[in-house]
Amino acid sequence: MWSVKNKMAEKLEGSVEAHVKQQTGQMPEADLFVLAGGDREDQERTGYSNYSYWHSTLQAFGKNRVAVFLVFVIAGILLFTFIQPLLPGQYDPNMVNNDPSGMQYRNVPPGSQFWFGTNSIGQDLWARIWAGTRNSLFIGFAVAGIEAFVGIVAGVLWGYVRKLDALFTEIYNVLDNIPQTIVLILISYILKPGVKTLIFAMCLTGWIQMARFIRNQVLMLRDREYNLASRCVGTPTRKVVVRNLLPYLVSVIMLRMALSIPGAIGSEVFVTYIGLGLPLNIPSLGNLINEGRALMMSATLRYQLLFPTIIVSVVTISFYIIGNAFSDAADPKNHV
Amino acid sequence: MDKKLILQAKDVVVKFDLRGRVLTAIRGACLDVYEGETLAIVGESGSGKSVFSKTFNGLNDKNCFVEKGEILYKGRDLAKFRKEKDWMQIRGKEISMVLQEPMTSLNPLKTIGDQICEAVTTRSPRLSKREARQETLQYLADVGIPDVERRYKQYPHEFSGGMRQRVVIATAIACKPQILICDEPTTALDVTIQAQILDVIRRMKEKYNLTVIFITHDLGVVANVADRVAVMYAGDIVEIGTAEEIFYDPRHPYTWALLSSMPQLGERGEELFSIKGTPPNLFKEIIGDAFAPRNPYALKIDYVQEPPYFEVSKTHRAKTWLLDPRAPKVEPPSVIRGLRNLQPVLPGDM
Amino acid sequence: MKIEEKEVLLDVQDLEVSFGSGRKKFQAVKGVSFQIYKGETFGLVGESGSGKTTIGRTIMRIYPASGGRIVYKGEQINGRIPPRLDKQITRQIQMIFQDPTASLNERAKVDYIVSEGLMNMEKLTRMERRERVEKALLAVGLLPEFASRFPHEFSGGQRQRIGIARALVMGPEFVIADEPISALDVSIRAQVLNLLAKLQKERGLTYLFIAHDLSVMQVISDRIAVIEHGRLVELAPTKTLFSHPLHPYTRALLSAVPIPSPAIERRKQVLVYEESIHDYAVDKPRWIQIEEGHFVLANGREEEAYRKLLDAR
Repeated sequence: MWSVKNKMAEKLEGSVEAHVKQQTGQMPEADLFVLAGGDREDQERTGYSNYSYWHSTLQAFGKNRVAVFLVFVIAGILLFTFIQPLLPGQYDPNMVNNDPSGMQYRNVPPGSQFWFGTNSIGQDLWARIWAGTRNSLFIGFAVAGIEAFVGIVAGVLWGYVRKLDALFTEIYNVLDNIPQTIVLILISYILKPGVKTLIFAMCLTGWIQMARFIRNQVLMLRDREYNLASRCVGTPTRKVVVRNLLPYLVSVIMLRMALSIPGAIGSEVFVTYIGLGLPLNIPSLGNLINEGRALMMSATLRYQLLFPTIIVSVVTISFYIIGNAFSDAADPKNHV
Repeated sequence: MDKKLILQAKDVVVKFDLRGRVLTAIRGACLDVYEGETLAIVGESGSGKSVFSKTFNGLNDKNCFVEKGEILYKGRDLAKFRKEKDWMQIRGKEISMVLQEPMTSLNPLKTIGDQICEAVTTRSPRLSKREARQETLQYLADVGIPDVERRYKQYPHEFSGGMRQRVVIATAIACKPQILICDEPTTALDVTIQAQILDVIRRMKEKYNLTVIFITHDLGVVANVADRVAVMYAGDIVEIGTAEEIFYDPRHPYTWALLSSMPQLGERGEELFSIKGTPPNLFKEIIGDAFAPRNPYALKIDYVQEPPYFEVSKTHRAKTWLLDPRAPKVEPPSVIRGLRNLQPVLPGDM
Repeated sequence: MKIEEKEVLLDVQDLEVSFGSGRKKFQAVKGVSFQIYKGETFGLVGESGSGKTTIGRTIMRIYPASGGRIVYKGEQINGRIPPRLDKQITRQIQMIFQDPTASLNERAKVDYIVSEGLMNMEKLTRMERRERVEKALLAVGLLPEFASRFPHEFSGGQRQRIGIARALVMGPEFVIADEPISALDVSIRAQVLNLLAKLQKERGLTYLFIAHDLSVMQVISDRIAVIEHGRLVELAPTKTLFSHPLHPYTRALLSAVPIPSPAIERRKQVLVYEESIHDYAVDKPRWIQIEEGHFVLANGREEEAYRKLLDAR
């Protein structure tokens, strides 16, 4: 067996000689066999890279073309909801439009005067849809933001302060066992219907899910050595949370927020659907769909349902895809 | 050298595809394994020792592929294997594996008796239930588990780390393999347990005529188990020889560095020999000797040209230009010359 | 140097630590006493679950002691202590952690990691802070420009040195090194041991060096304590412990030290330690000084046997 190896080694050596001569032709052979005595300082310089977590996250996110496109779509929609009322020749979303004879423009199909048509009392659907999108997105962002804020604060306390664990667990058990729909219905029933009421009702139970999620993450990270190390150099707990724990959680928090925005829009649609949502003078995707639903069976009036559902679908799907793409991108394992 | 060759790896190149970036884990390594020997592959993490051994039974991750080379075993080239079905004929029955963390190899929901019994019946389906059970008890006794009848019915979590590793060894043996690959089997264990497990592996090797490939980063363990030693660095075997040759007459500067940086050899108040720098980046192509940048004895040629194997004896080869007749004479660090005269730590009779 | 002449820096008296309560109560440390002298390296050796890490962390005040006293420079530091002492101890007692991959905050730059402790202690301008960080990095053999990088760019050995810099920047007098080389690659271990030795020489540091086996102890320790199941079983100067260990557990640990020599390893007989060899039912073991500076856990009968061994030497 060794003979094979020897031959191989010989062959290798032969070719090596030739190769060396060829590659280092200018260098006399004697110089090659001299101790090189490397620079030891130099060896500490490892592969330097300009790594930054957020930069890499954005870079990885940028590679997902679909998600990037959808970010622009959402941004475009959001922006347009604010621009639309400022454009010339727009109708007020709540104004009942009458024709010159004083009759309401009832159920006018989409056309040059009313781009998306009118509803049964002559309100301009184009204006209503954008106003509704604005309100719904506002509800979505507000709910996601409040849930995140309350949830993070509560979750960190729950996970980090051992004494509060039992208390929060009990609160969780209670809140988690009441179906969210019942709370939504109850609150909407008791309080004056309105955007604030809806946001309040949704956050009332939503925060505990976020809190529990944060608590589980905090529990996982809390006793890791780097946190002990921070304690050993006398870092106060608040700073440990802000500098050591939350940066690790940003990506998952963002994902949950991205998912709770369409969730909130969906809940709004649901509550309005059962008649407890926003009053008609506050247009929202919920009451637009609810109105449209009633007319679904009539072929000529179906357009009234179509446009709001398209918006809801686009917004919902976009947030899901963006959220997932972002959480993938934020995972350091996926940073090359 | 009249020993029979059982496994032969020739110029194996193994690469990993990491999202488009290619990492070369094994850079043309050659290795002969002889029947009945214990061959230790030693190297630090990232040297590719574990990846190399896993190419012998197809246990590498999905994004890993053998780009070049042959792995000959019983007339078949394992490097050509792609399908799980092919590997099923090799894995366990021919080449079995013991991993560092015993719980990864054990099913927590089954009694350890059932698990070994399963291995026995898969190997010989004709055995009756009683015979299979008898054999299982035998294996458990072989690996030194006391009170086998009771232990048979217990679950893995009822065992200590050392006992679990014994069970894993028993399961591996139960498949009656030709080759047993032990991948850092004692690293996670306490030192006192570690020695016992090494002893079990040695006894099993004798009793069942196994060939053992032992992967470790610990030269103390190597000295304990190995007949031959292959030293791996950056995906290649830089020196191979019998245990005596590697410990008492090492030739490669990396082997010198590994041996002389062992804290056991130091004295209080004296500086230990240490290797500077870090292993090379395997994403990049390595030009010349991979160890050159960390090697205080590096020659200029090391930065230009990869050294071939130079033969020191029939059994001993090293990949370093220092063995070239044109190279200057370099003495290994003094600690290494003292290895031969080392005394055991514990005084013999107290 | 006579032992009495040395200054005691840390005095651990009958330390007990337990976790959980009620039926789940687990006593990790059962009445451990030892003293660490200024300027020495005190080795604490034990296998997994022996309580060695718990002792280190209790001195660091990560875990509360459930009994006993820890006295540093004559002041008790466990339990409730005044803020002045708290601040002083945080500066003077520092810790080096085992796992360099887990002990650095991946989301913070080296600059922040190293200067974190300083900023808790004093108000520093940005320039002062940078200067201190650079000095600390240089002291551990890293380049000052590393300050602006993230930990994941570094190898295990470098990360461990960042961890050492984090401790050093506080200007400690006493450093607890909890298995600082166990998680490192073999080729890197010597680097870190050399660094620790160098820093000790330069700054007169005192170390409590925790390890799971005896192989590193002879290069780093002046005295060694062996701990088993939360109890010290033997304590002696390094040379004494290696040349005539008394307790069977110490002997088992010593016999397991791997030696890089096939001739020795192949003939090696590993001693197996069974707790059942002690007959402690009636005659309870005590922590006794059997010769100058050499302590062992033994009952009356064992003490006699050990004395005979020592005399026969």
